[in-house]
Amino acid sequence: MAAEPISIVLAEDDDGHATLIHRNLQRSGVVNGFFRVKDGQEALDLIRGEGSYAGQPPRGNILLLLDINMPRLDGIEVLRRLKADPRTNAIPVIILTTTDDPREVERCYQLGCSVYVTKPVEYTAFIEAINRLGLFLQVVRVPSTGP
Amino acid sequence: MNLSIVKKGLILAAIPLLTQLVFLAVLFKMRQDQLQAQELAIHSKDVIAQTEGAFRLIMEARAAVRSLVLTGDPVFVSAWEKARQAVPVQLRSLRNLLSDDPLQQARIDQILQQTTEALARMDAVAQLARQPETRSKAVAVLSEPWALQFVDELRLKVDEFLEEEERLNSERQAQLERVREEEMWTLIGGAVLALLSTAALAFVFRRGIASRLAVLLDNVRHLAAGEQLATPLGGRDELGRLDRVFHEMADTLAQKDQENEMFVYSVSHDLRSPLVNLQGFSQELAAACQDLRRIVAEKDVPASVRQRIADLLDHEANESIQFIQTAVRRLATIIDALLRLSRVGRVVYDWQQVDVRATVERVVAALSNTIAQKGARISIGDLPPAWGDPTAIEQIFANLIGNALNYLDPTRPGIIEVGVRSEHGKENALNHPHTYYVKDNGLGIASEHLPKIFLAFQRLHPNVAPGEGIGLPLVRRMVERHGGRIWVESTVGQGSTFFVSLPAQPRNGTMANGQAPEQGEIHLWQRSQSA
Repeated sequence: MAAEPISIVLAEDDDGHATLIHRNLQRSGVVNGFFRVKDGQEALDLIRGEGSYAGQPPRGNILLLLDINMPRLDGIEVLRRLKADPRTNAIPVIILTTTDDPREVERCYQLGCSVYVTKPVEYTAFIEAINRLGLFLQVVRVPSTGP
Repeated sequence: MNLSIVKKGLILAAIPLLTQLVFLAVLFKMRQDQLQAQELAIHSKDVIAQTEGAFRLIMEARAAVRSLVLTGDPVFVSAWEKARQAVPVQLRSLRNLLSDDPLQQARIDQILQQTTEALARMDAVAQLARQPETRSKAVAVLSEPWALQFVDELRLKVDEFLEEEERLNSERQAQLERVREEEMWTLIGGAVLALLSTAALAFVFRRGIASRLAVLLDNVRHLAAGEQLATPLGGRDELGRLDRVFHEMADTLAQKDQENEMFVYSVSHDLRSPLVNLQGFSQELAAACQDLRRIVAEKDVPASVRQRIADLLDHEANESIQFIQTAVRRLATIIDALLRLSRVGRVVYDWQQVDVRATVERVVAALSNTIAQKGARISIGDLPPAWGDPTAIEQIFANLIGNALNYLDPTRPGIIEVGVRSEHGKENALNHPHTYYVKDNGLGIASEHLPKIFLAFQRLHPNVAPGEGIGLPLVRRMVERHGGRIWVESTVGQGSTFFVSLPAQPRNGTMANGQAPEQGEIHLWQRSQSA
C-alpha cells in the first residue's frame, strides 16, 4: 500500500454510476479515503477549499475520477482548469465516462489526463475496468505529473 | 452574358423584327422609285407630245395663211385666227410642264419668241390677203426668205429641244436602273446579314442559356443521386439565381443531415448513461440474490422458508433479472449501432490519395484467419488509387469483404474477387470516379430484399452471421460522404457483386464538406452540456 495514502475524489452527477463505482472500487480492494461530488464546480471547490468547502484546507494529495457530462462545469473544463493552475496541475486525473468518441479521448489526453476509462454498458467489462483502476490506484503513491 | 433570360428573349425576338422592318423600308423605297420613274417617263412623253402638237399647230397656222393668200377664201381667216391663238397657249402650257428644267424652258422661250415674231408677220400677211387689192402684195411677202426659212429654223429648234428631252429621259432611266441595282444588293446583303445574325444568336443562346441549363440539370441529377454538386454557375440571370438557390438548398439538406446525425448521437449518448445503471444494478441484484441463496442455505433456516425463498430466487427473481439483462444488452447493441452510424457522418475526413490496392491487401491480411477457416479464396485485381479518407476506405472494403465471407455458401468453396470496372471508352476517364467491386459466389440476396439492404437495422440472414444490421448502412454513408455511390447486383444461389464508386481526383467543395461536421459537433457538444 501507499506510504502516503491519497484520497479518491469522484466527480459524477449520476448517483447510480457513483454507487457502482464506489462499490466496485471497494470490492477490488481500494481502501483509500473516498469523496464524491456531484458536479465540476463542486470538484474544483473541494480541491481548492473554496465555495461550500471554504475553510477546509486544499486537498492536493488526491486522485480525481472525473465524469465528462456534468451540470454547471463539465469534466473537460475541470481538467483544463486543474492543469492550468500550478497548485493543482500535479493531481492525477482519470476520466471515467460513457463517451468513447476517439476525438473526445484525444482531447482529454491533450489536456493532460492520466488515464481515460470508458464506462462500458457491459457490466463485466465495467467491473474489469474498475478493477484495473483499483490496481492502478494501489500502485499510485505520490501524485505524479501528467503526461 | 449576364443579361436576364427575359432580356435575352427580347433581343432574340427583336432582331428578326428589326431585319423585317429594314426589308420593308427598302421595298417601300423601291416601289417609290418605280412610281417616280413611271411619272418621269409619262412626263417626258407628255412634253414630247405637246411639243409635236405645238409644232403641228404652227404648221396649221402657216398652211391657213398660205391658203388665205392663195384663195382669198374667208373660210381660212377663222382657221388662221384659231391656230394663231392656240399656238401661244400650247407653248405656254409646255413651258409650265418644264418648270423643273430651266435649260429646256429657255429653249421653249426661244421657240416661243421666234414663233410669236413669225405669227406677227403672218398676221400682217393675213391682213393684206383679206383685201383683194393687197393680195398680190401678200403673195410677195410670203415669198420673202423669212417666210421660207422660219419653218426650217423652227423645226431645227424643236428637234434640238426634243433631242435634249430624249437624252434627259434616257439619263433618268439609267439613274433609275442604278438605284434599282443598289437596292437589290441592299436586299441580298440584308438577307445574308439576317442569316448571320440568326446563326450568331443561336450560338449565343446555346452558350448563354442551353449550356447553363445543362449544368443546372446536371446539378439536379447530382443532388438526386446524393452526389456532390458541381461548382456554382455564376452570373446574374435567372439561371444563375436558380442555381444559387439550388446550391443553398443542397447545403441546407446537408446541414439537416448533419443535424440529424448530431441528434442521433446526442440521444444515443444520453441513453447510455441510464443503461450503465440498469445493467450494473441488475448485476448487483444478481449478486445480492447469490448472497441470499448462500444465507438461506445455512443450517438454522427452517426448511419450508428455505424452500420458498429458493423458489422465489430461482424463478421470479432469476427470470426477472435475465429479462432485464437481455433487454439491456439488446438496447445497448442498438445504441452502439446508432452511435457508430452517427459517428460515420461526423468524423472529420483526412482527404488524400489512397492506395486502394494496399488497403484491400491490408484488409485481407487482417481477415486471414476467417478466410482460412471458411476455406475461401480471395483475388485482388489491379486497383487504382482513389481520393478519400484512408480509414473510411479501409472500413468500406473491410465491411464488404467481411460480408462476402459471412454469407458464403457452405456447400461450395468460396471465391471472392475484388476488382475495378474497366472505364475504357468513357471520355475523360481521369475525372471519372473509379467503380470498384467486391464479387462473391455466396448465398446471394433475394430481389425483394435488395431495396432494404442499405437501410439500418435490416438483417436478412440473422442466423448466418451475428451483427446489428448496420454494416451496409455504414458503408453507404461513408461512400456518400466521398461523393460516391454504392449498389449491388445479386442472384440467389449464385452470389452478389457490390459496386462502389469513389472519386479518382479531388473535387471542388470536397474539402469544405469534410470540415463542416467538426464545427457542428463542437456546437452540439456545448448544447448537450447546457441541456
